[in-house]
Amino acid sequence: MPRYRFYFTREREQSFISHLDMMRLMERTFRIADIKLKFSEGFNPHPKITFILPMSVGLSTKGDIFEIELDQEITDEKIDTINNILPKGIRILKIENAINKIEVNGFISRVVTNSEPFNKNLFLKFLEGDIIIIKKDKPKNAKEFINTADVIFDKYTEFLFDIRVIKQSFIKPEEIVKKFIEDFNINSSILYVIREKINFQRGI
Amino acid sequence: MIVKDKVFDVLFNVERPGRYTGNEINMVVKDKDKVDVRFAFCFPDLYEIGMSHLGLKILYHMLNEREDIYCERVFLPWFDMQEIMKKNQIPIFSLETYSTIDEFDIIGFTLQYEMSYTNLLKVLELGNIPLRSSQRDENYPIVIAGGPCSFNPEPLSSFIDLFVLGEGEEVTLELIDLYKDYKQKKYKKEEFLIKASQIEGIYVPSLYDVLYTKEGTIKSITPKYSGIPKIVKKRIIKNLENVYFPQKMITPIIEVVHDRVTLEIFRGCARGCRFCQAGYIYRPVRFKNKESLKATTINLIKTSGSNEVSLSSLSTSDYPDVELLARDILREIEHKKVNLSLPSLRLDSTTLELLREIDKVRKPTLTFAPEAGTQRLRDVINKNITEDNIFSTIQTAFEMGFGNVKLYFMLGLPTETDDDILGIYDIAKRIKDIYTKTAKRFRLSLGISTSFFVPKAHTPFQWEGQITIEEMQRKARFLKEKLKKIKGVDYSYHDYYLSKMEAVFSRGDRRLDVVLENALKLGCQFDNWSDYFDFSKWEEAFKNAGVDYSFYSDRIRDHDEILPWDIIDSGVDKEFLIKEHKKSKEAKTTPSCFDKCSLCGATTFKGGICFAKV
Repeated sequence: MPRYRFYFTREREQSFISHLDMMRLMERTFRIADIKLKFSEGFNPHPKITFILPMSVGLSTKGDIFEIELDQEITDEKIDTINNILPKGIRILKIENAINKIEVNGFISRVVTNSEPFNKNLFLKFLEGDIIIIKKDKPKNAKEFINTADVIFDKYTEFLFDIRVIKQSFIKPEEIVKKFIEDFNINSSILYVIREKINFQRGI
Repeated sequence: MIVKDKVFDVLFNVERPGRYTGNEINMVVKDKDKVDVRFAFCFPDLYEIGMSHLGLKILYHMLNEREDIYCERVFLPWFDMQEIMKKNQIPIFSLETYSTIDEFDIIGFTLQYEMSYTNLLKVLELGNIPLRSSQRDENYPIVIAGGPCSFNPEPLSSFIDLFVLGEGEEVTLELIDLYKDYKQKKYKKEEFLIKASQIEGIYVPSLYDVLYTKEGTIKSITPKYSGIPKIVKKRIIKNLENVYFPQKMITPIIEVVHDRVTLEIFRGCARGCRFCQAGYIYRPVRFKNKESLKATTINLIKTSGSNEVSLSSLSTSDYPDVELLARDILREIEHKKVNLSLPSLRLDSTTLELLREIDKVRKPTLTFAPEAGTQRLRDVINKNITEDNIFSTIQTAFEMGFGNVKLYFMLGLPTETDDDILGIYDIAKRIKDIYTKTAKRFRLSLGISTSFFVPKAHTPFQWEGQITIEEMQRKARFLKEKLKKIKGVDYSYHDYYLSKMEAVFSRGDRRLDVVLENALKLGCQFDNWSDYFDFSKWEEAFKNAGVDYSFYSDRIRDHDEILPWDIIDSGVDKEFLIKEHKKSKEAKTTPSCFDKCSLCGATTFKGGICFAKV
């Protein structure tokens, strides 16, 4: 059965839904568009949708990807149909045939907060040390997942991260920011997170 | 900063923020400045509860069909959000345009359960709107309410400007048209309310004086002015064929309690179970036509993309040829991987076969609601189900491989003795025996669940007293001990204190307004969520108001006492209810409306099955 790759954006307006909500939204959208989905066999058939990176609650994206198996062939012409159904804030940019596999190496994210300006050295010092974050009950050092990081003081205080994905595993940049503001007792809360770009490789 | 920006800046730090962002599939978008009437539909509970409610969706889309009206939705934010809103000075807002509720012309609440009353007050408070109707002049929105609880509106009568009784489709539009007229000229609120009270189905509590006797019962309920109706009769839609039903339905993006497209197949119930308010206030039974139901299903699936359709009614099996309808619908939706669910289905061998077809793999839980443990008590409550029905159906079910059974009972019904409670144990035991004898291919899961009887207005039991909290505890403990003897039975019961409060407010009068205000001040909200219900706060709220709650819940009333809701005419005569009440004492049953007309009075509506038989 044909497998397609959808490139999409998600704006802040529609960013506060969970990964499962996103999957369900896509299932519904395809049903309304009358595009036949391929369903899994077994007790509780569900459509075969895979997001190449999880879409966590509060995350906007300028370009993420999901792959889906269909029971029919489609072309780029369906983009408009689908976009007309999707709620404001989620847009499909491109559809391609998912012949080859793609492998995610990392991504660039911006974490926007309302922190007062602080001494940038605090953040640099924080990056130098170990950054232990509990992930699924296991401590992980975020350091090995950070390629680069920076903080910019503008209208808001924005943290920029270039995150490495190792064997499909990574640390969420917002977790790193949370740890930082906690450790240094900075009065701040996260407003939103934007994934600017996913770095991936096309396989054979 | 505008409300929307303020809201979005806090969403990252609250639980399930998708509750507050709107923008769902089929949400109605309009220019709020280009309509004549702005209507805020408030469901006084969490988004996930409100968005599971069919009535909200019908009225939302119906009002929005009109170009001159914009109906938006408002839900009560969860605790964490409320706290953050308070800190950041964000008033409660609508999901469509992030307007604050004081910007609307009309605020409409739906009253689905008594324990949402403090939520309703909380919505007003979070919207900076004075709670009491008397404190709001024409510069504030008109606050209206409807839904089943408005059949005893009195506990809320100080807060709500007017109540809409019965089915809201027609009367709400009549009211809005009247409002539109008044909005254009400078009007006095009371003038408008007096005019509104002339619309059939509209009750304006501030236009009535209530006097009390020394004993605390009601002495009289009288209109303040001549021309105000002495009794307000509920409205119904005579012919459901012509009633509006949305062909496109707003569909949530986050998961809600009932995440599906719901189709109403008929209104009313013909069974007349004597404890059941819905069985009386929605009379007479009116069916929707099969062909239009099928067409609507197909449209709704096409426009919502949902993966489940549910046929809704008070007693699904009473729809003529329901199997045919279900099979026809199934044929249309199956290939789209859409499931069908049939709640309130009376189980027997035919419906079991149907259930098996509908759900080929999942083997759903079979639910039975005998409500009482002995035939005598079932006759008292007029619950038309026999043990033979249950056991033979269960036998067939086990043979078919269904292994999950759940039974619902009530404790504290009028005339109940410990023998009746033992009857519940006997039924459970018998089911276990049937299981042991027949099937071994699956593990039995047998759940017994009891609630406490709550006497409701407009039912034959409206004069009954509820048992005391101590007695509730005793009965539940007694049953629990007995059921322990059957291995594998899972017993659960409803909260006693919550049942007590329901009994108070379902038959309360105007003097409970202070209690509700006190409760709000003490922090009572989301009371329907047993984790958040705090009885000690309620006790304090009653104490501070000098009100003894048992006066409303436990006291047995005389047939000639004036009841707070006597002002409301549900269409069922009081004489009929008295007759039914007396028959219950003799354990005499009354046939369903399908078999014979028992002359309840609902024929005055000139619609439904009351005439189909003639």
